[in-house]
Amino acid sequence: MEIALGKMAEEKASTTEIRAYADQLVQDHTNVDQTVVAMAQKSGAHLQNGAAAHREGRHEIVHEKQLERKLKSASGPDFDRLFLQQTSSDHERLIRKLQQDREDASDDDLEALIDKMIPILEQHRELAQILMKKEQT
Amino acid sequence: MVEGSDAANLQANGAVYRASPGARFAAGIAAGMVGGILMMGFMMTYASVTGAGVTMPLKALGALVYGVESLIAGPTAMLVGALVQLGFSMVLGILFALFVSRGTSTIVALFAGIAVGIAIWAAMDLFVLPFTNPTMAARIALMPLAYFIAHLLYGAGLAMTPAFIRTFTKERLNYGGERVAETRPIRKHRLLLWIGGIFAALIVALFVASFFLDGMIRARTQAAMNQKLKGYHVALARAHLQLVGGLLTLNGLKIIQQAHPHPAVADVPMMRFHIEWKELLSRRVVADVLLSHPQVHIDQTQLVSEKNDRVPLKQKGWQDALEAVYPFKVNRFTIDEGDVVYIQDAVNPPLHLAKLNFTTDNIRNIHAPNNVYPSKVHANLVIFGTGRATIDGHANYLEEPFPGARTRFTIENVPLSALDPEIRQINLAVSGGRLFGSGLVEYSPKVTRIQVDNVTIERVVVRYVHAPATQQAEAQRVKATGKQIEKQNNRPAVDIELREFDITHSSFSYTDKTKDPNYRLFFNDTDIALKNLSNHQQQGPADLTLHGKFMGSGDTTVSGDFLASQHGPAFNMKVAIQNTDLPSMNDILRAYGRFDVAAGQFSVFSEVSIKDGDMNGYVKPMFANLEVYNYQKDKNTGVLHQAKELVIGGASHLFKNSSTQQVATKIDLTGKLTSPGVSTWQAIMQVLHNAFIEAILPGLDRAVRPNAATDTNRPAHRARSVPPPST
Repeated sequence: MEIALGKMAEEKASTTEIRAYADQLVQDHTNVDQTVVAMAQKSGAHLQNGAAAHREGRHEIVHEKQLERKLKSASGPDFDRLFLQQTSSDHERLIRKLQQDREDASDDDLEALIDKMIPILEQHRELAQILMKKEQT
Repeated sequence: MVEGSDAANLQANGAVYRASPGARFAAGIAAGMVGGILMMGFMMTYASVTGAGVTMPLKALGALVYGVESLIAGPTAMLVGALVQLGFSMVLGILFALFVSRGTSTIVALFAGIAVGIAIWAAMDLFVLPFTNPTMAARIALMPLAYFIAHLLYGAGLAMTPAFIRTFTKERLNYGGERVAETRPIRKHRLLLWIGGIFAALIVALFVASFFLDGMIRARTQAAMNQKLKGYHVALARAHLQLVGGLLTLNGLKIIQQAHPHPAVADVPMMRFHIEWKELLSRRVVADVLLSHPQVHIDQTQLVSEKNDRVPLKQKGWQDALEAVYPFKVNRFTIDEGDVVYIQDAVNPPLHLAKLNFTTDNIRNIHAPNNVYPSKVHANLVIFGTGRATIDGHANYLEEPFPGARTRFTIENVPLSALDPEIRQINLAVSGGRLFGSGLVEYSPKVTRIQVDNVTIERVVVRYVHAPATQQAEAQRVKATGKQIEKQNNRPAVDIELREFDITHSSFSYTDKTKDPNYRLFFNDTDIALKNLSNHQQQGPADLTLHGKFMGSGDTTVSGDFLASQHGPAFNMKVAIQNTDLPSMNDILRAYGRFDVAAGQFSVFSEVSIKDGDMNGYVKPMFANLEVYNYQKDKNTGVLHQAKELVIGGASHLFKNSSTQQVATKIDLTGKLTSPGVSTWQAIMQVLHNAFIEAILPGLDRAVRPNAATDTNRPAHRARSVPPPST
């Protein structure tokens, strides 16, 4: 989802910094995705496609659809604000989930991968919050 | 400064060169910059290739000043990052220059530089970055190996410090002992330095440029291969040609059969070509090819399509396609952890060859070209899950008209039951059974040699079913097998030798579904030993022994020898089957004699010898404790009243029993083979059939017929059915 959001923001963001941020999001998440897929192939695990993997319930699908509609209809500073809020909360949620997954994981490689992913996600969250502060001032 | 009397010495010795602090300082800066540029160039290239973005390293460095915002701060942060990199590089270079001199050798400087590079890497990774630049630390964690290599490159740059010192050393004394103005260094040294610098820059540029050619290389490689292939085409996901070193890597190569494209018949995750550098010493530029984890996946449809194709598989252009990819001839070929799966049908498990490792070297016969087989070959693999095979030997790939090879093989624990679905096509069914063996195979345009030292099959159950639908095919198969064997008999340049073949604890059964009722004969708990089987007469006869239980009860011993005679079949055979439980043979008695028995034991003794067209021998069946009841008392059918003529005997009544009331009788087997040209194999089969089936049963019938009238008042007993063989 972050990749999709990032690609949307690359086109619709109103400032250079937010576009740069979106570009960085897309690059980092694509890179991490490839690393995860390669690791899954190596270990023989079967990965669901992106949409199915993120599904946790019907309300999640509805929420994603609503968000997509909102972002598509927004533009300018409104889009920027929505985008930054969404990525900030998404990353917060992802970081918590990964920290929990790391505690549950028994595989060394998986733990190492999570250890590498979390700092990158923290950087994204921090950037989103910095940009949101700049937007407010 | 040198004065006075020293000047005379100097005059005698010539000019003197000393490194000034300025020279050291400049050298340190220059070497540090070279190292810094090498390091940054490599990191940027790596980041670009791996999708992290070519500017990521600069942004990460800029985070020292801008923090995490350097990731979005644009060119300013990158410029700051570049300056940070160069600044630190120069400072460290100056420090390095304090510890080396203009006299330090290149090797020593290189070792020292690399050691310093590693030390800097360790310090940065463990102590400096996590505290001073966590943004960069997080990014480096995604490419740890690249970061390490980058520091090695930095160390290589530092190693240029002595050379720079020599270049920048300017103070010397003239012959008058006066210090003269600083002069330029000797042109030769500067020229060498410039050449070296340009060369290094060129290498870096080629290295970087390689990554930008990937798309073009991929498209061209795929097109070149597809132009050469017939009936197949390839799809290539990625390709990378490293211009420095000539290393070509293909990733995600799929080979697809055009007739049946799904699934792909081969999937090669990585295929690598590189120049075999050691052969440059032999003044040959040749290639080393590696296939990493290739997977071959064939189903029956694809196999049949390939078999029916007019163009044989080896002529589909494989070699041309390989040569179209890389400009140099292949001299070494390796398969690493290959996998071959053949899917027979939707019901049976696939045949699987796994962990296939294959290496062959010296393909171009660069070394030992006069040897018959100059190229080394090694392979090992897992067969059908539990079996293992190892092949070691030599080959000659340049032999005409086809390559030859001579290899030793060892096979262990191969489950024969995996072949069951395939061999059912020849009326055989196999269950259980493990194959062990070793020997030598040599195949070339000049000679074919198969020398099996020993083969052992343990605990196999083999069933042959003779069915109405396949009768004709079976007869043709026997004939064709016989012809093939005869063809190889005493054939020059073909040596087939089986030194020892053992089958232990096994069962063999023959079911005849063409008769009514169907009957089944079997041997269980059987051990067979075959020694010295050869296709050449001068190797002497092969010895066969068999011990087992006929129909689960009759102690059986068969011994014999047979020879690949040039004058027709030649064999001697002794058979003894004792105390077979006769009711277990009721099916065959009903099928041929239309009667069955309630009790009795059957024994048979036989000796047969065939040589030079003459057959001598006898068959002596014996029955004891016989109790017979008519199977169909109202029917005078199914009784063989006379022996069938022996196919391979001249006399038409050769096997006709004499009229005797005795249960035991001796049947002579004497005569001439009417078809001396039949194979030994066919002759054995025919004797067995005629002597035991056609002769004994009619004899039994006549022996018991006089008692049939007195048996009709006895209550009918249901004859026991033939028990299945124990396995």
